[in-house]
Amino acid sequence: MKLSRRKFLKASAAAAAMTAAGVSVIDPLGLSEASAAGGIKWTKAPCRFCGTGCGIMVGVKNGKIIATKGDPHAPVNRGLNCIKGYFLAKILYGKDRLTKPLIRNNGRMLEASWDEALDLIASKYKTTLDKYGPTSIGMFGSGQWTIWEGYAASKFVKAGMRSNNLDPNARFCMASAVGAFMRTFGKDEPMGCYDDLEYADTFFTWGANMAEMHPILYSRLTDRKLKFTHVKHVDMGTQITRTSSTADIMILFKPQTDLAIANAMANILIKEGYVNEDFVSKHVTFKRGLHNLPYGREINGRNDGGATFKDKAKGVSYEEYKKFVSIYTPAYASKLSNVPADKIVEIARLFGDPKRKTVSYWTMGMNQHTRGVWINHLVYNLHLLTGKISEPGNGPFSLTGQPSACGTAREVGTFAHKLPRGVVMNPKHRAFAEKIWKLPPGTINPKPGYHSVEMARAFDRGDLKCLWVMCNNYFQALPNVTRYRKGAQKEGRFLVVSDPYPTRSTELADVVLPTAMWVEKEGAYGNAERRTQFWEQAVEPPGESKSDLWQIVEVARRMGYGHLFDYDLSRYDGKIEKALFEEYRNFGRGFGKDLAPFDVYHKVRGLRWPVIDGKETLWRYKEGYDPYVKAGEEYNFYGNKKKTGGRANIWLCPYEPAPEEPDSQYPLWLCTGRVLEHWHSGTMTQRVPELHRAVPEAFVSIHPEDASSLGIKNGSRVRVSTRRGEIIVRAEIEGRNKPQKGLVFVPWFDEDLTRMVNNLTLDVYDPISKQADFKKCACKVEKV
Amino acid sequence: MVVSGLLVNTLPEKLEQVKKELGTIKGVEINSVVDDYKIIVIIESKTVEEEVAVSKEIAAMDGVLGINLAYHHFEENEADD
Repeated sequence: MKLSRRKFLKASAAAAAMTAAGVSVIDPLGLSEASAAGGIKWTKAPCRFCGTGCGIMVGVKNGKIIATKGDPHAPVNRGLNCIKGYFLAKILYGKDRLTKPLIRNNGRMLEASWDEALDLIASKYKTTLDKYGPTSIGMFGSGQWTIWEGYAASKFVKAGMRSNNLDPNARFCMASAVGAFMRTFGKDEPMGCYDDLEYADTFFTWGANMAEMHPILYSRLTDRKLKFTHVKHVDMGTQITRTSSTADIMILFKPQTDLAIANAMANILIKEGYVNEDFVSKHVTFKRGLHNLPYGREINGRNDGGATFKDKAKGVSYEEYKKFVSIYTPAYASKLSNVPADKIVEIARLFGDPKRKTVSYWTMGMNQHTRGVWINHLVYNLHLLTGKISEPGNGPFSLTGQPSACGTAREVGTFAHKLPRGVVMNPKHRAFAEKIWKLPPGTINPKPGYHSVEMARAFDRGDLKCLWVMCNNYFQALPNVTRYRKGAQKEGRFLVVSDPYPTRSTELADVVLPTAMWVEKEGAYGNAERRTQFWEQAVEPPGESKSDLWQIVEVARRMGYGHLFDYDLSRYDGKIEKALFEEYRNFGRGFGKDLAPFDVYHKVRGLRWPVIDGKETLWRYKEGYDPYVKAGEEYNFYGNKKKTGGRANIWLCPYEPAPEEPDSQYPLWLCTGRVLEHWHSGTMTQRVPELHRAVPEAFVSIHPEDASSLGIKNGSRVRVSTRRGEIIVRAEIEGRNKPQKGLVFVPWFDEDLTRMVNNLTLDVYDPISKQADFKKCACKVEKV
Repeated sequence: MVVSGLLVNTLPEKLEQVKKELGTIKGVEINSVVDDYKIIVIIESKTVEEEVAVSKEIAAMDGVLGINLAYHHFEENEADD
């Protein structure tokens, strides 16, 4: 018996790995039968971590998850998991899970019943709303919410409380990508999909450490590159990472100068005849907005204009565009960026080569940028000039960091200006939502609410009095967080935090609600390639934990908004999740975001919208791939149908400096980010003891020459400080991340107050997307 | 007992070197090689911590492009049979 069990497990492991490697395995031990006999029940779920959306098989025995494996039928990961698979199940079983609601009483958190906690929240929100109006209450949500949780939150805040103070942590993550997608194509999210990885000849990665943050996609990239020797990879960034190891060309540029490099590449494409003139003449228009933009700075309590900034766009000619980019000569871009001019020419030619298919991937390096919308535009410009878009292997693609940044935050529209379709400022969009939500006309508030940084500022000032933070760690994630942590503790603020674990946010809360996570509830996520994926509940949540959905609906009912969630559940198999999803589908149907019925998603491994006649769409906007494009149109960027007759926009965006650059007092750039072992603020991964021990604390990666001139050795304790605060961490020289000279990198997972890097970051943002820049500010490093 | 099945992607020219190095790690078994650069590896250990340490050691080897986990069984409290 002993031997056979061991042999069986090993055979299972080998079979799973071989299947994932593409070898067909004939179940030699009758594994499926043996699993059933061993009492393991397998169900499917998308992974809880990043936006890749890998399919996982979750094995449950005696009410507990005891095994996971890559789902061999999942098209995203084809049976593989990244190293995070080791702790995927463990995040549910951390020792300090919250299991009971807590209410603050004379400074101490005391256990309370759900009724007490929910009644308190409802009454505080209600009295504040009655007294101070809809701008005085708010909610900060998440790209980790399930689709129906985001949808319920949107209904609760916008239809119930008639407020627009609802914003997600996705604002910190990909708002710039959204802004540029909307302004270029009139519709959000990538036109292509992960299948591009198997068709591209040239890969560009921009400000993205795909090898550590999206390992499964990176493994598909390396597969393509190793099997086909003509495939090339260009890595662009401010530090050398694991992703650079497959790069044929590494472009290490000075922070912020990506704007100049991308313009110079466009200039070279034009000058050297790489433009696809036929595509440009038929499918592109040119636009110029305002330049010399504000940064959303607060000066003596007044905003510099970034908070309410509205761009003024005008159409310009192709000739004007050519003239505009002509100042970005390789020499000028080289002077700004420190990248040799001939390298810029080389990558532009590689990009433009009409015989090669080119795909661009990017993440936070481009989005967390005070000119984030612009740099997104500048990359689209390259794809539009060359016509390399909307077909297998050709296209721009923003990768996401959260499992449902797309499916929930972006598609449901849990932003301060958004509705499930359109924006609150548009009377037609409001009327459409009011019809589906069965509200009297005029219910929805036309004024956008506070966006992430402004929400924290309003809470600090006291204009916002009640705040509910759900499914994220706002008071660790905010830039310049010390200021906002103090603000949250001021008299007259009421803070509710829902989370599975104690965090830097729950410790400031007046009410803490214990939350069911991942497969402890039924859920749905939407990944970065428009793939909507469902899962069933597999285990019971611990103690009295309840899903975010249940919490929202219960508070809404107590505030008198029960009618918003009053469905005849006998029509929906008794599931409010199904009722909400079926209602939500009405927003996208016929408008380019058609979703399949609820039951279908439980059977399939996800589908990429628009789903028309049961068929998913892999590449949007191109005839033959996208059913919305008619025969003979070739391409139709139908999000812009009314404005430009279906053409995409090339935007004229200049290089403008970062809001704070190194000087004599703070001579180094500070860049923040993630490490492989910890996900985001570490609230889940720091609960896994083996991971915590692997990377127990934040560190600062520093270039060897900078370290030597400061007298710093590997492992030295150093003080990193900015105009906003300081932290004490150990130095890492020649570690996994190798920053350029003059730049240091600190990961942001560490919740220790003396090492929390957001004590240092700058709380300004892109005025178009309102996304903060966590990648650039000026700092000083000293030995302690 | 903790068992996992991994797919180790290598630079093809370093495949043999990586295989040799893998052979020196306790609890690591090479199952097979696919496509001349993917090694199927089984790790057996007492705890997940040990297993993660081994995976990280493999990931850090010269010539290894990445490791992917395909199967993970982790009944740690189970009698070590």
